[in-house]
Amino acid sequence: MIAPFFETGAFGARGAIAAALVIGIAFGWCLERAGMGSARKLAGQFYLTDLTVFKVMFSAIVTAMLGTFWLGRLGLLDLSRVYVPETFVAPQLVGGIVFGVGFVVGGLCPGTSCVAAVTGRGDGIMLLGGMFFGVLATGLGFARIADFFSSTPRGALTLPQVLHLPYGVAVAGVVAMALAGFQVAERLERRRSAP
Amino acid sequence: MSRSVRALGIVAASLGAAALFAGSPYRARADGDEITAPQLAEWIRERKAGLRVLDVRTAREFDEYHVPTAERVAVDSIATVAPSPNATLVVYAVDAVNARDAARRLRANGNEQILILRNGVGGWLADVMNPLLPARMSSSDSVRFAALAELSRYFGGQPLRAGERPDDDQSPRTASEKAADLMARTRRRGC
Amino acid sequence: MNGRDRRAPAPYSNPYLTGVGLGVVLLAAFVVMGRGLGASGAFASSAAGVMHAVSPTAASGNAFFSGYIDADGGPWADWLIFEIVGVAIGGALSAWFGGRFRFEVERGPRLTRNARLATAFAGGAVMGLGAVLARGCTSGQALTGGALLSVGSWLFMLGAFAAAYIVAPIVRRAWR
Repeated sequence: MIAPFFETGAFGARGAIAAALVIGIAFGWCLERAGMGSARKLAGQFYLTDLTVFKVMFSAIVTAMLGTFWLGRLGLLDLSRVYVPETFVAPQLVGGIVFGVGFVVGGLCPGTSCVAAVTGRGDGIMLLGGMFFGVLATGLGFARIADFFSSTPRGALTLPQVLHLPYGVAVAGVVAMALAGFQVAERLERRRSAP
Repeated sequence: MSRSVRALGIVAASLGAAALFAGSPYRARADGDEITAPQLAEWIRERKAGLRVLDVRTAREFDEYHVPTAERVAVDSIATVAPSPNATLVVYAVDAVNARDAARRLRANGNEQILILRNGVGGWLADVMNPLLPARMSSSDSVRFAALAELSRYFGGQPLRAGERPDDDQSPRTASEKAADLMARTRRRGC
Repeated sequence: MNGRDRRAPAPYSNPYLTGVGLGVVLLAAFVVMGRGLGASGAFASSAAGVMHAVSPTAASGNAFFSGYIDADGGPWADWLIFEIVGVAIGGALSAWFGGRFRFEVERGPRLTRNARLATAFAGGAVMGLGAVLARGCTSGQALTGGALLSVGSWLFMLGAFAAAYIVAPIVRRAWR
């Protein structure tokens, strides 16, 4: 049976819910283990004192990216059935910028705020509430941004497609970038902790 | 700890380097499974015998817009689609998940010739109703795109030249409706 | 909970190792479900659900919420809602085993408790807007889309990191 198992009919809606819970539990476990439920730790990324965010995120990205590439290459995973988020150039870039501003002010992101809230952090609970409010307010005022929201669609566009590179070359490039980034991160952190 | 991290780094570097020479991670598609929107449009225009287009979205979505000649079938009532020897069933939804699920059930019921519309209703809108023609075309391209443009106009669509926006009063969808479509798609697999 | 909270909390795990673990979880999601992780989508679905409970007509007439309401099983059956419940459980379990439960308001040394709660709320609200525009957040776009090399996701990541680094000195008072 080839993966993705849900897509190839291995199980139905109830199995999907069970999978959601198990995957979510593992997700939350890893986040808390890494200290991503701590706003002070996360904010340290942007003052170059604690680069855990970068290390965790890109270790995860590289792992999953290599995993999907090689499982696909070996014929174990049907990559075309894995949902690639669609690209909308302008709203996603602007959305990222807006999100970044909120992130550095709030110190947590939506996923980590759940971890923070559930481990007793009052700021996590407030941030959760703020997120909900922000999404609700944006939804209520959606008509105003609807045009921009739907602008610049490019479908499920990937980096290899847009750079006209073989998929594997893009993968190699990301791995190289990440490893180089890790070296820089280690050096920056060492400098900060040196007297 | 530091040793295992280093080991992982070496594994990552090796797998990354190997990826340079590995070729494509995508499977060779079994194209018998899917049909493109322009191909479906041709079939509808030439009134292909036995063709049935099945829309498995909600009634509301169907009423807002559906592929011409499509019949709405709720996924749960798909058992009512009786197999018939010469029928060609084309199933579509907002995206592939529901379409494939419906196709699975149809197959379980004994239907045989089942195809899924690639990219669903969004693909129909993008490739048939408002196909994007490049600004600069070679003469061989022009012939191909002229046919596509004519097909689009047959269904009341409007081909777009790159860089153009559809006329507001001729566009079949307002920005809000388009956004609502997109939200429904995102909701299916949202982040 | 006898004495657990009073003993020193276990230190966090190595970020690279936990990151790889996280990557395996993400890969598992791709392999099992054909989709990735997410968080902000759960907020959108629940906002739609709440709107629908308060005023069904207003909710169905809203281009943003109607998509969630019309989806199979309704807004509360969103896969992401179950996933995020899992995140909470997983986070709690990990904190339990590490003795890291702490009732506090984490804040920079120069910020009062109330000011911190206000910045948390404000930051969250702004991220809500950003996540709607970008169709996701760090989990759905940066991690998931990043691993799948989606252009929009990488643009999101670039925008988010750039903006955060640029704004950081301005809000220095909040953290340092």
